[in-house]
Amino acid sequence: MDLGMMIVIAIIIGIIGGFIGAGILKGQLYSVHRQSAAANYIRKDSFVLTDNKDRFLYKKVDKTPRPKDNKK
Amino acid sequence: MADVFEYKCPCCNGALEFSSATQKMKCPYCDNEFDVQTLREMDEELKENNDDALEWEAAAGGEWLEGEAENLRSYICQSCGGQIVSDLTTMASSCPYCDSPIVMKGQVKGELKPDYIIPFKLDKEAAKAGLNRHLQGKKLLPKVFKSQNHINEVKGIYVPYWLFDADVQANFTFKATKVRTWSDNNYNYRETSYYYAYRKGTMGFDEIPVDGSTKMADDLMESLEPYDLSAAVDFQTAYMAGYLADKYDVSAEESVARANERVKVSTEETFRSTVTGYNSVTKEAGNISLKNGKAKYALYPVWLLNTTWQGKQYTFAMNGQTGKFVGDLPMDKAAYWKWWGIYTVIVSAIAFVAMLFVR
Repeated sequence: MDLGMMIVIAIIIGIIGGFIGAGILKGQLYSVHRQSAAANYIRKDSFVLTDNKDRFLYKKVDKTPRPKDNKK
Repeated sequence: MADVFEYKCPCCNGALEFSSATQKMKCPYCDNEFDVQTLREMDEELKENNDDALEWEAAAGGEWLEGEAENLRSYICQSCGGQIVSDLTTMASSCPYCDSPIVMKGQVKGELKPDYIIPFKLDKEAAKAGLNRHLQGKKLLPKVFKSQNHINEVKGIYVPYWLFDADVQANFTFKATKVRTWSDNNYNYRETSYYYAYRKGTMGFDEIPVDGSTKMADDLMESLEPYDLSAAVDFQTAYMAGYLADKYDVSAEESVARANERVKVSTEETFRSTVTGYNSVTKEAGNISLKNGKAKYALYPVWLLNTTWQGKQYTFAMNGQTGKFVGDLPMDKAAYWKWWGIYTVIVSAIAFVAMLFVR
């Protein structure tokens, strides 16, 4: 990989990183949101599983050829 | 007929206020404190006294009230004689003339009496301090917001909530996978085993709060959760003196759907958490049946701060029990791009150096 290419890739990664970092700082400004769940209100020890089955269905194997190095 | 009363100091006759610091009624004039229970007993005496006042109010304000009855009610402050007007859903207010805290007794009676109230634990100063803390450390907050915004008002409000219980029976079917990878000289192998996980069970939820007032933004109120209900007490009007209180204007029937939505999400999450040992788990099918218990009506304490900046209004709220502070803030666009630039340069440099090493 030549130097120019490396610089371009580094800049692209940097731009993405910039948006992520600035996005995190932006997120600090927002604290108002709906609560999607009610985890705080689960009655203590009320969760009881009456039936519980894990069954194996089938298996699938994918194989991909490995890139061969040039043997010379 | 509605009548109005306030708690008077047995020592100096000043108007008592509920002190969040000591959880007692305190006289701001002579500094004496009184137990709420004691005052409740005295309240019985007050009631008898007020019967006379009732008739007088009906005579004086009768015709005027009929015209206004749709949305407003008017009362006479017993401290200074000033006329107080409030809308139908306000339970407590302070006299605009002498600032005495009053409780609209008429609106507090009857079927709408709250089951619980969580009294204020934090006072107005704590609310203002909460705002200052909220503004700290926010790199994208316009620097002048802190100095230029002015707090229009800080209101201590008891917000009406419906509390819902739910008993849930549910069953779910999940598809789960286990993945194994290995290689030999020629190939990379990836073996995916598919499983089906069935879970059936029951669980219960207690006191899921749903904001019962259209005046309070639901997302703002939900952001203040959780409240600690172990500190809730049976409702007594004494706790409301000095604070505003809203009566509900959304019925329990209209609110239960919101609670049930949250129950469904939590139920699925809880059941899913029992499917362990897999690389991936996805829900295939599920069935949840709910039974709601009787809804309860509670008042939870909230400090509301409204502030304006550059023509826009910002509303902040603080949980009056736990001190949790929420509120969306404006963003300084220039600061956003400045930090974007800083992060871009740093990450680019790190990526470039990393590639040099790997090369």
